[in-house]
Amino acid sequence: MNETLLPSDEILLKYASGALDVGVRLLVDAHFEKLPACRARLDPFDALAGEMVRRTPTAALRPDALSRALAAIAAPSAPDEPVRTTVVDRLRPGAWRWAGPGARVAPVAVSGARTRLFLMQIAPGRAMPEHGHSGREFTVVLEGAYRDELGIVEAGAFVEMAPEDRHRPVVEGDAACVCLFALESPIAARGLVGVAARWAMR
Amino acid sequence: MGAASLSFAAVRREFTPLARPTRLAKVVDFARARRHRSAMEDPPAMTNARAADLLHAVAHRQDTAAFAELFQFLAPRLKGQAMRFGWAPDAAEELAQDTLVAVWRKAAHFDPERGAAIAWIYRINVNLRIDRARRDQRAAEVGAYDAATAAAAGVAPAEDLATANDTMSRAEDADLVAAALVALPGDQRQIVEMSFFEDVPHSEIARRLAIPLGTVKSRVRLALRRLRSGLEAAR
Repeated sequence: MNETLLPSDEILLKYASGALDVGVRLLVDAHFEKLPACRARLDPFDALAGEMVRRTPTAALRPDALSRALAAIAAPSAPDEPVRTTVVDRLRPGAWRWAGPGARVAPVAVSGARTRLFLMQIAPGRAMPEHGHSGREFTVVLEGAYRDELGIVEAGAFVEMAPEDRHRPVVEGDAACVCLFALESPIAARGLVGVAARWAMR
Repeated sequence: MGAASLSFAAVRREFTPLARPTRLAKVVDFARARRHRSAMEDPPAMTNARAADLLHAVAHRQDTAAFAELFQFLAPRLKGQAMRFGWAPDAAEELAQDTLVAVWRKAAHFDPERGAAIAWIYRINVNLRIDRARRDQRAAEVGAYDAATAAAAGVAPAEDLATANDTMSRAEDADLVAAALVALPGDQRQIVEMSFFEDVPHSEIARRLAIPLGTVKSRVRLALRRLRSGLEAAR
């Protein structure tokens, strides 16, 4: 698959480190579920993350830390409950809303996310509604396919759009296209205020 | 700004030679952490091979001495790492504790043929960290999202662990990455570390480092491509 339709190295690095926004992380998980072979792209970044831990300066533990850990491993533990459903199955979309001809959209609540997630469904032959955003936009195609300047974008593709990017995707083929997307814009404003405050305090 | 950034730079050189903290609080936390050990100058003590042997001993003999060795190397580092990610010291310590306890329970799922031991442990740590942050957040929310998603990334259940192992790098990747990381030019390494520890946009990195946005983007691309191609060329 075209590299522009996969998570960037930067996204993979933050996924491996755990710094990635949990909303975007969920999109990456959905991408891996659709295209399991793509998990191998994480390998170098997992290795890097392990190396960063080895090189991390230590923080002193409480004096009884080890004895508490030894007590915890000696205690019987409940077996883990297996999780059998997929990331996509566990999405809890809110009410669907009309979003233009042949298009509907539902918000997806993700606790702790700094991005806002939405599911969007567009009928065959229809175009996705035009939308403005001031931050980045991330999209994973869950079902169907669409066509835009990049060509045909199929299920499993992960697309990152910069704020200045504009595109007008049209659903390709006979099936509806379902996408999960994450918008970072509203929080970006808060982030900038945070940056300004940090600079002022230095 | 000149004087402030000078003294900030001095603090940084003294306490975190490998990375640039973003807030004074983090510098102070790190200063405290580093008072107990000067880690960056020393070569890391535990190799991935050693960690893999210890995991094997834990999995097959319930060897508590092996567990204690893993704990004493990793728990202080995982705590330091969590503090670097902005966690308060107490919460960071609990996270490190729980990670090692989870390692004890899951050790049999680790496959040394498929991945570096410390990277495997770090994945457990990341998943716990995300799960916990989400749970804390959810306490204040209505109609929240299913916490089981964190587990889907590969940690909690045995079935998922098999999948997680499939995706791990081979053990020797870790040594290659160590070499690649050290070989990166300083300006590239700095941005890799900022990208590792924080989910900040490139524009904010550019602002902090007072360099053009295009420079940030090209350094990130160069550094990550170098790390990745170093690994892939070695295969």
